[in-house]
Amino acid sequence: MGLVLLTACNKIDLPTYWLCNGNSTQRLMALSGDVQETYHGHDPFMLEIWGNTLYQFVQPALTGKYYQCPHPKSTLGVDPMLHFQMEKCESLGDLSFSRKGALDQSSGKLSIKERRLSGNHIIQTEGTYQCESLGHTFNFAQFNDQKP
Amino acid sequence: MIKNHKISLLKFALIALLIEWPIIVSYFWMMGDFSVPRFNVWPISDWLINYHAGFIRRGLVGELLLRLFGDSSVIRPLYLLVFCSFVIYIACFMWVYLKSKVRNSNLLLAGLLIQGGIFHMGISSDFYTRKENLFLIFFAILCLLYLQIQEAKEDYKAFWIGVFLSSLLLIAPFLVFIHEAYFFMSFPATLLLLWILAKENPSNQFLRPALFLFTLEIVSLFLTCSYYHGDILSGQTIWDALPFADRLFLSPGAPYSSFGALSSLGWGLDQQLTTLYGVFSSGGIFIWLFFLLGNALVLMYMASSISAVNSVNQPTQYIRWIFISIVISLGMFVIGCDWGRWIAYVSNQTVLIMLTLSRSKLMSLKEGNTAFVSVNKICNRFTGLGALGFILIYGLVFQMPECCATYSTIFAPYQGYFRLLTPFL
Repeated sequence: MGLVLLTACNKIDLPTYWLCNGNSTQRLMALSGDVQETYHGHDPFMLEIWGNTLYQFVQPALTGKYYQCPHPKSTLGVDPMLHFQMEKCESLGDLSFSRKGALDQSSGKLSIKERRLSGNHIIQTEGTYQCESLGHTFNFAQFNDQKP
Repeated sequence: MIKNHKISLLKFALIALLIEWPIIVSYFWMMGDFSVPRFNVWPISDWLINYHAGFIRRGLVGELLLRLFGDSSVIRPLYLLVFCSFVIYIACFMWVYLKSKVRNSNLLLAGLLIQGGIFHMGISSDFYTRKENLFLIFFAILCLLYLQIQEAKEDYKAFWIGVFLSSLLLIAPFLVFIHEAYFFMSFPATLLLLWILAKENPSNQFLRPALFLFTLEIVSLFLTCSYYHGDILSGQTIWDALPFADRLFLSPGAPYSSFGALSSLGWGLDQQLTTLYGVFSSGGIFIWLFFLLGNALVLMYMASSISAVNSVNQPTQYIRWIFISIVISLGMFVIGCDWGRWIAYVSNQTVLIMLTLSRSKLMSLKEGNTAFVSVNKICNRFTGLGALGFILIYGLVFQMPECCATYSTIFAPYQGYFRLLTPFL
């Protein structure tokens, strides 16, 4: 317990927050790819990064826990891109349900995509956002209409 | 004499208003025809967790709602359910007050006005819309049974103890299935009440074994629920089972993705820790400390008012038991960031146990137990008109949020009611 508290004093180990604004689109498609229904969302998106995991529980479309994974094409130490996905990095995952995203930490651009098989349909959700880094603190006033 | 009569009448009118207004407001809000969600979509989604992906923690009420109303919409029946639970809680609270035979209108005023209490539940549509309101109702029923045991004749005591124990052992497990946080929120204080009952009735052969049985029952069910905590995929399956109209209503931008409490089913310990960190990093901790202190002062006022009547210059265990019931209920503060909910719950439960234990056959403090004599003395200092004035201002000006506090959200939302009146002005 003492170790945990001491570790918490080290700011590097504290969670960091990114607040993002943008749009999401969810499509219900037939297996052939024909779009049958489309829904748009404009809720804020907040990324909470702690260690190798990321959390998002403000935006309804893409809520959940993500794992930060090194991108195969990235160069160690110089790549500002932060790649993350719903499945653990080493796992092959459930091919019928995937969710992946990438945050450019220098420009603040975030893109995220979900694809899921549901019966005879494909659910596809995409979001593009412009984010700002909040550092180690945040304020609930920025998204208080979506609270746990 | 006439002045005293007027003050009594004024107090009666104020108490009646503090009970009626929340009921009227919550009735029109929950039963009215409004297009917006009547309470936050996060707790709404918590009520809707069901067993469609197999047995899972918190799924009992959602499963019943889905089976009964799954063909159309489960949200409208949910509004009726939470409104009824609010009215039942008010009735139980008042019944406990009347049965406790504490006759002190200032104390009742404090109990109604405390942050997170009945008045604030009604004017904000917060707190009673959460599952723990069912825990409060059950705890109040146990308090009523305790009071019934206290006033029963010797021949009937065993019967009422039997009713108390059967209710406890048969109903409490369902509350764990409704929300596993029962283990942190209500179980400790309930166990204390049972322990006091066992101490007061040493000749009853069932009370001591019941302490062990009740603990075993709740701990094992809590561990079972923790094991079946769910994951992202089960959250999605549960969401998909809900009527499409409800999903679209709750999440119009993405009705095919699980959301809110359903998506949090897969959270691990690390995510819980980051939400607790959020209490500090968002600055909310200062707001919670303010309400913690405010509610502690209100509870001290109430405790000193009751203990002053019962102890005639003789320190009793009363304050000690109240203190213990609060301390053993504090575990809920580490399970999530909704500190307003926890403060409200522990305050309401403490008010109930205060009224209930006022009828206990109080035992004297053992000689040398100076710690609680000091606590008694500290509590007894917060009395009088000044304390009552603080309670009125604190209770009427501020409004404790459930969670995610910001400084703009700590005042009572009267502006919404004034807007209703503007067409007539």
